[in-house]
Amino acid sequence: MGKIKKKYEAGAATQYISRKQACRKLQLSLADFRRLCILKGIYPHEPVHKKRVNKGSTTNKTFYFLKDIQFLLHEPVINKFREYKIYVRRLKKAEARLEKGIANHIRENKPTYRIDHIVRERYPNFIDAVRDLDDALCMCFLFATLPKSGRLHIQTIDLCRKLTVEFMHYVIATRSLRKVFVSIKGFYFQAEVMSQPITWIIPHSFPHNHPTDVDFRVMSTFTEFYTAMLGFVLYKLYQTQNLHYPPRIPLLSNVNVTLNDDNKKRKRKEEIQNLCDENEKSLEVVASLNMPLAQFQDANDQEEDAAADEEVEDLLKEGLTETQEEDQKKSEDEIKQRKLFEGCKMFLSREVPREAMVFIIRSFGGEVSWDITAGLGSTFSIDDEKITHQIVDRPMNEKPYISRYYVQPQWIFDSVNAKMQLPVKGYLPGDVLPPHLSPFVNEENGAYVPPERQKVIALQRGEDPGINADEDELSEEDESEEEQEEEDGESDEEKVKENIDEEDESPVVAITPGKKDVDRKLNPDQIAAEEKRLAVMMIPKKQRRLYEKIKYGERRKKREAEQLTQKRKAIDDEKKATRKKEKRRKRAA
Amino acid sequence: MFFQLVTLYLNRMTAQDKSDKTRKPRWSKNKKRNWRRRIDISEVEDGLDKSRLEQRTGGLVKNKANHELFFIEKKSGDTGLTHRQRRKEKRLTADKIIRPNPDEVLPSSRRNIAKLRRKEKHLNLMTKLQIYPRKRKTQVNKSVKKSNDMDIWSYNPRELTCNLFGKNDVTVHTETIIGEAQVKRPKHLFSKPATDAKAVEVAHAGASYNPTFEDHQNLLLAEHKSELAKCRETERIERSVMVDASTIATAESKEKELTEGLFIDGNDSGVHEDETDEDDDLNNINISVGKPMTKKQRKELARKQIEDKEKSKDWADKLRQNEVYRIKTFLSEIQEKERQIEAKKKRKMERKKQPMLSSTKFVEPDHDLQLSSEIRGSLRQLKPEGNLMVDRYKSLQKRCIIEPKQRFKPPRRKYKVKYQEKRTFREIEI
Repeated sequence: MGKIKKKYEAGAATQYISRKQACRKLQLSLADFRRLCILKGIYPHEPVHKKRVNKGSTTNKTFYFLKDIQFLLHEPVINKFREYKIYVRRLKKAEARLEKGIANHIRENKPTYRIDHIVRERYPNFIDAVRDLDDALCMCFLFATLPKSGRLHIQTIDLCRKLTVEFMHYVIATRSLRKVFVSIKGFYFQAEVMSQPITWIIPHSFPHNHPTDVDFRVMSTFTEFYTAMLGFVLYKLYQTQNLHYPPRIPLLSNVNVTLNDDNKKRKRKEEIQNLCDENEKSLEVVASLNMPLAQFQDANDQEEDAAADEEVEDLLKEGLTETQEEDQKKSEDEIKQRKLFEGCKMFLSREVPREAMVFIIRSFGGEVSWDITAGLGSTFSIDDEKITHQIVDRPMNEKPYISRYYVQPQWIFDSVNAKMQLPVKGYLPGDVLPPHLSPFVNEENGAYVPPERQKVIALQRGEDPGINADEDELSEEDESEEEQEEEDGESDEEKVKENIDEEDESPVVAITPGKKDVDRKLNPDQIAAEEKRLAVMMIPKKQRRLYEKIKYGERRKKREAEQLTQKRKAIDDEKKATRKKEKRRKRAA
Repeated sequence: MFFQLVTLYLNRMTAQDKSDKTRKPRWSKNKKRNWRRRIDISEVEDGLDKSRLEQRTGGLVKNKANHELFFIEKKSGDTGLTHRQRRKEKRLTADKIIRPNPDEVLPSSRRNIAKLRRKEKHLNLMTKLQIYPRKRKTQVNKSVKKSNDMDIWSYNPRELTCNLFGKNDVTVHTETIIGEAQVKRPKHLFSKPATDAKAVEVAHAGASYNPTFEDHQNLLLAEHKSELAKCRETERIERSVMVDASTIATAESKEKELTEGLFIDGNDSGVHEDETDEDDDLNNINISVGKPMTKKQRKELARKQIEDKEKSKDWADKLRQNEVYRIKTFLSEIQEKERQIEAKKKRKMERKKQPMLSSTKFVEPDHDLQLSSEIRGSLRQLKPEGNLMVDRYKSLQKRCIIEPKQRFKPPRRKYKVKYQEKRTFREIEI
């Protein structure tokens, strides 16, 4: 008789292994096993046929691939976990027996481990690690803001803070910030590192409640891995930019130099000395994000960069093919965007979130400073006459300087998203701000576009969206405007009549040089629409049906968008009407 | 012939040996020939060979003095042994207890106090003469080698592991025999488990600190819908478990049930009142039997029944015949139904099922939003909403990187713990 085939001995049942079995195979406790899986990047999987894998039962268990667990067996860090377990046991014994000398000796020889090889193994190329930066950055930014506790040591928090500061310095140096979105959760940023878009979130600087349903050990293990990975990635990124890693600032004496009075200087110096310890001073100055970093080669590289830029521009001016023209446009736009705040000198008031603002402004070439007593790293004071913008968030009580614009912080966020410096008009202190739109929303054709976004698009094209005709400016002008409109209408008609009369009266028959017809300045939209219509006519009959179906769907969306615009219009009209009524009542009273 | 016999005999003996190991092969000691053949002089010969070798290469070892053979090592640690081998050569703890090292003196015993004092004196003398003893190194974590090169991508992953942890026996073996290390990271681990989900999902546009009216309303609507769904779920559960209060038994109704049929023959006055009411009802019931049907009536009834049957049959036939003209509508109805079924199937397939990685199901987190009354429109007056830690944790669970977990609740006791005082203590009276 041949070999009897038994159930669950081959196939899917042998490919998966449950969590408990995996722990037994690796001879680790559950906490250690979890930590190892997080560090190595081993994930649980749901088998397609649970019944087969679970040997007939359908309870929901956590399953891992057997191959993954077999791969884990070769990990040398497991020995370190076991050593740590024994270390804890010995330490507890010594402490319980009140043998302090022995306990100290044991504590000195605490086993530690490194995970460089795990990082290298998980990311075979550097670009893979850069792609995974999203998660790493979010974790580091989050842990940098947490308070220290029994589970979270000060070294981890300091390390996270240091890494986040270094990353922000990198983004500033490469001017790679692209989008900003301020939500109630925190600040969302998107930067382009090695042509990979990287999105991360920074929490608002507010105290958090420690959440109860989050496993803190899991999160701290993730942070452990991500800090190691981020360190290596930053080192490589700094290398590509010829910057020193860890970042250094060339001349510390540039800090706080621009005061004239000697007495003032002394007083200010004392104040500054109280801000932080001497040994922390360099770190704090780096963390203020306001100083350029030390590079490996100084003047030559800058010249080379400038020459390279010029060459690129020359190439761009020459005629190229269509796709290359598109690329050319994109790169031109990018170059424009990088110099968004170049030439601007901004001063931040105390109530503005300093770090985020410094990061954003400096990433686009601007210069920033703040009050000396608010923190280290301020380069010029409020009295400086060359300040172009001052960012204020509360009602202004002091006498305003004439040479500078006073704006609310949303001006900066919206300018970054619009890729141009928006007119300061709607953002003055005390104004009701326009809504802050999300730059991460992709607008499809025919979708509803709110009027605020339309204004921005118009500004980007260089047209005046009619900011002067704001609904906010309601006064007697409104009524007079209406009257004027009626008069204008009449005058237009009269003019037309006059023209016709003139033509009839004077039938001059003479050969005069002809006037050129005024080129109809078609909107880029209209040109595109015409081209599209031509292309549609050329579609063969077979594919026209499909095209019609697509068009039907699009038309439906457009209808919905129109409905929304009408709703918005109705609301705006209501608002206008109520305001008018109030004004009339005021005038009557 | 004789030799063959002898060999056969010997073989038989060895075969027996295999079953019975205690027996030795016996041979006759009478003849000199046997003595010459049987005795194994290989050991003697080996010894002689050894002594001859020694004589050839510098004289017999047994005649040599210690200082000619050995030298006292002045440099420590250079025995050519690896860390593992050295650990093996260490003395066992049991041995240390049985036969302690004379240099190590335990301070606990009285006899050793004098020894310790002597040792201290000796040490002081040495320091005065500036003869310092060799320091014993503390156990340094030799595995933590600080690599100054931060560029890990310039290394092979195996090189890094070797640098940090040293070579494993297995890796050494595979490298020598096969020529390359066997362990490679499985290919499916180079991609994330859920490829469609992004690492950071940007918040809805209505979650901006100063949102547009439409975006905010859209967000509120979406959240409202999900909240309604939750409420509906709880209501559904409550409805299925709903109990009508009037059907629950009270003490009164129980008593009434139990005493039903008892106290009939005028024992209790209270019961009579109820009885009179019941009598009235009973009297009012009118049961009319009526006369039996005549033959005529029966025939008519039968005829009527047949007629009704035929009528309904005709009507049904007529309807059926006319259905021929309704084929189109039927076809369209069928097509409509089929379309609906297919659409439902498609929707079900498209609805991405969150894989169930553990016994707890993944619960989608609520969107963080602020009500219209809470939106201030200014960055200074903004009150943040939501916890980033929870957000990140949920995002990791959604992408199937970690499995959803419930907070550990210690198991509830099945039986109450009973405490009992020991008898000996019970008898004690304070």
